[in-house]
Amino acid sequence: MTVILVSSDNQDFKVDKEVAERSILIKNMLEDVGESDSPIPLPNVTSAVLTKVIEYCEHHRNDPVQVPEETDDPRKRSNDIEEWDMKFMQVDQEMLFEIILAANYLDIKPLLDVGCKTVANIIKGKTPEEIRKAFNIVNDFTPEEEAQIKKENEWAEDR
Amino acid sequence: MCCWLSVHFSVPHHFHPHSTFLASLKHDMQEQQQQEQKGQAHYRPLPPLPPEILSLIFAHLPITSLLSCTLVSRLWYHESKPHLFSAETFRLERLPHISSDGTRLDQAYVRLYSPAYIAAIKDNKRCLRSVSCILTRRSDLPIAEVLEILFDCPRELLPLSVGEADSGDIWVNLDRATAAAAAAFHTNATIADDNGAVATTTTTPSSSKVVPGILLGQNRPALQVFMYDGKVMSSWLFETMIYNLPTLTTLDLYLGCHYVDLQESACLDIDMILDALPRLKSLVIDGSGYHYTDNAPSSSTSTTGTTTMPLHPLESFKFTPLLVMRSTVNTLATFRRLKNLKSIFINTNDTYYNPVTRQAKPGEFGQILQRYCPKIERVETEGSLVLWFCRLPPTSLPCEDIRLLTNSGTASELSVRELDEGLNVTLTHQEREDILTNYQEITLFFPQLKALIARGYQSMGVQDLLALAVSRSQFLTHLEIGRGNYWNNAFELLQDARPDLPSSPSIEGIDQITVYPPGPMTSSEMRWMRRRRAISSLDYQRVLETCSALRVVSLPGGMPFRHMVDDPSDINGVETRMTRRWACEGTIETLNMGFVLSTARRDDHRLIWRHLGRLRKLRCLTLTHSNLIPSLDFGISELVGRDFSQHDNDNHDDAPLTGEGDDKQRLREHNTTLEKLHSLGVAWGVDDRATTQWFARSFPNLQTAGLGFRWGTAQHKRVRGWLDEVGCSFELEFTNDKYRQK
Repeated sequence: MTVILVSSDNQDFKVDKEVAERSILIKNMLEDVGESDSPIPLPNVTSAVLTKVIEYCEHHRNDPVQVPEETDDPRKRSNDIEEWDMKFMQVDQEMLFEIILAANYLDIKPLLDVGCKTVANIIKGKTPEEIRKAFNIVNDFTPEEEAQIKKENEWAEDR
Repeated sequence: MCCWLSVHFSVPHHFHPHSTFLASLKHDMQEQQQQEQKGQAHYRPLPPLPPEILSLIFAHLPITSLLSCTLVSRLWYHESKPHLFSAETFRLERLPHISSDGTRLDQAYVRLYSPAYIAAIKDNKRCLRSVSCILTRRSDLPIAEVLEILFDCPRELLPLSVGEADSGDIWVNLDRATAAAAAAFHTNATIADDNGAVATTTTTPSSSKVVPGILLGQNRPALQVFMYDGKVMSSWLFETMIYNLPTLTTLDLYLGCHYVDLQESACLDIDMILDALPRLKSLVIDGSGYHYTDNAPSSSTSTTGTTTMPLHPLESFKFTPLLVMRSTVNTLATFRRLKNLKSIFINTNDTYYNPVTRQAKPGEFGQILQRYCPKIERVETEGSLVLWFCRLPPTSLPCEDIRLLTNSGTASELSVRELDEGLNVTLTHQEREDILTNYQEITLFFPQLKALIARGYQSMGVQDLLALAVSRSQFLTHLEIGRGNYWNNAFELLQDARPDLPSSPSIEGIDQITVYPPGPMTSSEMRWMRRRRAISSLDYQRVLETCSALRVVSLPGGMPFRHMVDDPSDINGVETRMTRRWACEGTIETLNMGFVLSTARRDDHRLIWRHLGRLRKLRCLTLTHSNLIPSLDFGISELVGRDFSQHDNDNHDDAPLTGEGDDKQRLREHNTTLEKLHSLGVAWGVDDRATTQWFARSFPNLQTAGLGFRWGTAQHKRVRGWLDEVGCSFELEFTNDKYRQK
């Protein structure tokens, strides 16, 4: 069985139901509307991003459903990105962010996870200024606030 | 920028009127398209990540990166701050600035445990995820400080000084104060506490312990991980500390040799810990236990407690047998609650010489675990513990039959026989197979076992090993057995001095089973006495030929070449001969064992190297107890794993793979997964240019290589030179690294 997904720029994507249901959002939608051939509009996802997302879901179509351990310390697992996923995530930063936003919107937990790990790896080892530059963030601290935070963080120096 | 900010991220949950839903989506789409058209004209900045996604990202960052994140922007500051305090284990250890005897501490410690550090912990205690508390030296933080920092326990309420009776020791003071308060509490039990300040009573239904006298504040941490290493002079107070952390999932207690119960206090009670910490997944109770007191359980716990104990989700439990030894009945009953237990770690290091341990009944303990903890996947032991993994069937004793056979003198008539060191008899191939078939009938105590890690001196019976290997051949992933049988008397312990229990212990009956037999054996019990036998290298070979899922293999001693080939005397050249196949060739990642050859025949060495080359996923290799000759002349090039199936029909040329020209292509197809080579053995080292440079070229992933020579020798300089010629990047390890000052 296939379903039709419509991207924000009105492109149709025909995918297997099994693949589409990697997205919990779509899965719930399909359950709610029941048997229906009507296409599913995804107004928050462009065709470029949707292509990538479907590629991911196709590759992981047979993965078992993850039951993440609530108590797990994610920091222990930050480097364990699968090789295929690592290659999949080698896109420009804008696409990376869009994939994360789409994964969040479509509720695809493992994709969101891989995306977050990839961003975390970009952040690692950078100074605040380098991070701002990398992610195009405006520094909205006053100098006093900045000094205050540095003082707050004193305890963690030398580690 | 504006167009991106307007994107809705809300996830619609229900769409009752179908048409309306679609219409609204359409509207959204049109709106968005218009906005996009406006914005697309110029450079589009990165879409901002919403706070909930930032938080997901920060959850993957280490503390150093999080410190940078706090300084990026206001939004980032707010999102990263909570992660900063859950990112690492906070240590409550040393005193800031001045130690208790007034001398100044090391500058590094002053920085590490500065007042700012302590203050930060105190201010953010609700965010702390993991705390380690080490109180073993004089310069450590006093317990009062810990109570104040972690438990919001007002200092003025702590009995820090008790006037003239002040002993100068906070533990003693606290204990006296709590004892006094307890006495007062019992005489005036009607004192109710309505003001929200909770008198610390343990929250367990089965508990009769009340620890009055210390008032804890409301602002306690929601810790998940708590480690405590140090002395415990007042177990009341200590348990109070633990019981007030009900959010814990991991609790590690290292009680050291200071764990002495005072008269008024009670033993550490596992059941009470379990009751108080319902989310606990991992519990460690460790330490050198010379001073455990054997408290008889109070009558209330032993009578009511054993029948109504609720189940507990604990998955991992590390303990010492002394723990099991004290109040035996109660401890065994505890295991009944642990239906989800997946991993046990028994540390017997400190009980090595303890005569009581020598009376252990390893079989019965195994049986209890079999009955009540059927999910155990991992068994780890340290020290000289004897633990059984199976119950032998009463009638089938394959080993004895073989012994009879041997004694009757038929041995000489049978063709190929191999000495079995463990059984001390010679066996034919068929007999070996028969033994394996027989083991299929044996009941395993750990039917789900995947990992067996026995460090220290192993004293496991061959029956247990083989039963495990046969029944779990497709599931066993770790098999690590420590040094060989050092302890001569170990096999006294392997005697099963009683008949197999007629039926498994019933729930009611369990209280009658003791791990330690109360008196001398009866004669009928004597008749059932049988010994488990020592494991030989041939048994290990059998295990490797049987188990197909092993990933980590570490075995003591060396594997003689003669066990690895069908006919060691056959010298018809390397092409027609082959080592016996291991079932786990495609899965082994870590291998630590020795290969022992009694000849320097090149073909024999080549066969073993080729055997190792068949391990397609090998990443870490240690050959410390081997006398394989690491040289291209002796076939080490086979280590890169030729595809032997082709190779058998192939006309083999002796030219080594040099990693040049055509060989490069061939290498790529072969096994180059090796990352760590810890030792090539003690008998031979790499000492020729061709082999050295072959190493450098053949294993692109190699990080460390122990090529079998000492640091600082001429050989070291030679090899280093050869490696530098080809610009190799791996680090060398040396056979004398242990003694070398770095």
